[in-house]
Amino acid sequence: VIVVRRLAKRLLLTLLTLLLVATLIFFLAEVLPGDLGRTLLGPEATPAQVAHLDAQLGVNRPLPSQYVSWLGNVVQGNWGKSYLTQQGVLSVVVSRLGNSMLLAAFSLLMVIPLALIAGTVAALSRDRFADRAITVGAQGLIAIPEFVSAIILLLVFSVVFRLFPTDAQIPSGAGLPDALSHIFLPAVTAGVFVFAYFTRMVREGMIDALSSAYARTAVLKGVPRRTVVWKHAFRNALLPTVAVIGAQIGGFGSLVVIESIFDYPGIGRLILESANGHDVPMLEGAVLAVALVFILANLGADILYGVLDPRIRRRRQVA
Amino acid sequence: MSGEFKRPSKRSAELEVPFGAGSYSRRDVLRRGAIAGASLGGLSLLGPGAAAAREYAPAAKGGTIRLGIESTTNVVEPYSLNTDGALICAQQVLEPLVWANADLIPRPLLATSFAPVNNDLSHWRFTLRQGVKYNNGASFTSADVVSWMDTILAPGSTSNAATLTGSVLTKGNTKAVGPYTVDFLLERAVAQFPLFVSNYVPETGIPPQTYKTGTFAKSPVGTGPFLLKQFVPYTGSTLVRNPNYWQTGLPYLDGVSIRDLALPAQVIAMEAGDLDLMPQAPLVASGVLRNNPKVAFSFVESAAYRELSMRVDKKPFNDPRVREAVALCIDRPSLITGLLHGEGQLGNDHILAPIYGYNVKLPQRKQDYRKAQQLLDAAGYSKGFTVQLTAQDDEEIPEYISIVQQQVGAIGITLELQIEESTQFYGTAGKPSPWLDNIMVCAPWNSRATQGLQVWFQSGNAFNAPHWKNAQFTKLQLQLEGTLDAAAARTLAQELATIMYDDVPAVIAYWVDLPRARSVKVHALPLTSTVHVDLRRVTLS
Repeated sequence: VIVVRRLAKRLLLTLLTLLLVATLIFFLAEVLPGDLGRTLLGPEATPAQVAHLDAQLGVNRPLPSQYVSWLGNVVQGNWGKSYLTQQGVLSVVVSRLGNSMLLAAFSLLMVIPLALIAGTVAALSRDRFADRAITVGAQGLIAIPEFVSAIILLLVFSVVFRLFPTDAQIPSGAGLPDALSHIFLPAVTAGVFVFAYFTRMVREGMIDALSSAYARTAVLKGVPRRTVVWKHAFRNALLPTVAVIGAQIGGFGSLVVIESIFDYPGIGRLILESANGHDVPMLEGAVLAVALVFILANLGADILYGVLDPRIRRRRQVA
Repeated sequence: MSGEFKRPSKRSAELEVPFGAGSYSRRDVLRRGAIAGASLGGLSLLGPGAAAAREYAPAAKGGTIRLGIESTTNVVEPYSLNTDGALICAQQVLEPLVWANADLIPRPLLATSFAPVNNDLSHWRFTLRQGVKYNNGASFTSADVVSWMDTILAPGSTSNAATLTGSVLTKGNTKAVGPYTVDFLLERAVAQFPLFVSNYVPETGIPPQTYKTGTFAKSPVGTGPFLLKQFVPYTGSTLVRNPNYWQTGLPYLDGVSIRDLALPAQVIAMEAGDLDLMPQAPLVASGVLRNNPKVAFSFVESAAYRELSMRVDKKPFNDPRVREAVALCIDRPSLITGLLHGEGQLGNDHILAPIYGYNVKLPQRKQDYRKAQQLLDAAGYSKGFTVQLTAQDDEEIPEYISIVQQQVGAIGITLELQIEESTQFYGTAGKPSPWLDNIMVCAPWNSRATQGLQVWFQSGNAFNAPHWKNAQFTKLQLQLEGTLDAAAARTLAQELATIMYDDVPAVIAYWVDLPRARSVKVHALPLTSTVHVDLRRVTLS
């Protein structure tokens, strides 16, 4: 009963959050510069032509009226059609979200093990050369904007060495190696910041764990250093990192830039395209999907947090 | 092809064009005073049939050419082709009656000839090509032309064609005289009417009469050299060779891939050899790609320009002396050198572009601060004034207006710059448009095939940003549009230019040469003064 009640509460909160996000986006889209008719007809359309098309599309209706009809359709499972492309919103959003998830997953798969190793090495060699090199290196990587690292990677690996294609669009029928070669550079670009951030998190967590009372006790008991590090400290050091990973999975902010530069058909680029074109149904669908993933990723991180930390499980059971 | 960058002369540019060798350029035609004979019956002889005899041997047949376009192509709809990606894609599938390249000579394409009926330039007769079939098997006939022209020119049409040609041709005035003969009954005499149904008005590509607007991407039907295999919004198009194309043996390519790419991605892809052609390479890219021996750059003179318009109905620009003072502050040669890397032509504050060949003679306006200050003093603005200049964030325009700001500052005019994205610049329905309502505006204008398609300085035109009203100018422009006689056309052009030059509704400081970047393995690509791409005879080595 407790679990069901907690789940119901969480679900209700999720729905309220999504409603809030949807409402916010709908009204924010209205203050975006530009106009749907202008986007469709281009600069050489007269103001009268633009007004005529806006009226045909119904986007000149009062905002509350547009909002109510849109929300009514969404509640009934009808996400509508894109104003600009006439594609079904749901199918496009699902496809684009899948592409972004693939990119994010590939990036995290590469980055997480490397960050764990680098963070642990830095913590174990605290204040020595390796620690300083990793810490300064991570700091430097965090400071590089994605559009800069993307261009550098492209110039080096695609233009000079010709190791990877310049675009990230996976050709239809491509095998796994070909597909991975297309998304390798964007995945690395997306991973640069995450790697640096995770490394620092792991290092701090590891240092805290190694200086804790239980780690000192284990050392005094004569437990081998390797066992102290991997069995006692490592698991505890992961706790804050797991929360960050959860947030990173749901956070698609950097993908807008990366997907645009690499010409990758992901959800970030879809949001940008829809916002630029005043395509409110598509923008709403894409943002709602991202919000949903964000909420679910954080929920997953909470659950994983409980798995890693028995104290949380027990506290919940007591509650 | 040498990798060394060379600016092709007009003549060498023509030599790249299969049609071009041996044909008259529009300027030649005017120079020889032969406009009447050549632009009508004479030019119709220079159609594909004539061109075929001069055709270059292909380097190699087959292959897929890869194009990069900086555009967000959300839809490909022949009714309104509002992005470069959509335009280039549609022009491979659908064909207009007439095609014109950089020389601006109208050559029959789906037509075989055109001429005014009884020398009446408001009544044109086009004979259509027989034996042309759409890729759905239907024959191309006059009914298709009538149906489509009536669709795009219907009252209340939102097609760009209505904007460009609506004042010349209206619904119901395209008549089928026979299965392969069409008459156009115009609102007035138009000597260059064939260019109004050419690729320069891209929506005049003719789909079959059964075509339903909005279905092109799903059911693309056309007579063109390529078939649209796939279109993905915001991503690009894939086209394959039309095996039943009416020009036997063409096209040489197996396919075309058009990709929507951001500018940095385009340049990198071109550098890496992942693109073959940038139909409209941004000027900034020319600096990066010129040193690549595998990339050839071409610049084609065009009628594209940046219009620095001043509201003549509002202070301080309601005084022509103030407008002239602004024009006299601009150092035009340095703009061409600095902003355009030397690839442009001097403007003289009128719209009779050099490519139209009217050979207008007016003293070239130069930077003259002393005279500018005198004019400002005489107008009562000796202490200068402050005004906002709104511009579209496009190509070199932000840099251009920064230079203008600095140069007019020398006579005490303070410009507050406001740079807008195109979505904002062109305005929202029902609200004031920065482009058309603000007091001082800088906007880009694409190249047109004829001055008859540059009508926005006419009184009351919807795009008349300076709100300039000059009845004489409007009258003369309509007269020029309806004049065949070369000498009379030059006289009218001279008068038109003089009116604009004297009254300065806008500063037109330079004409932009259109930059195009291609891989050196691309051959026989006709040059155009716009983004249009004719790939029928293109080969890849």
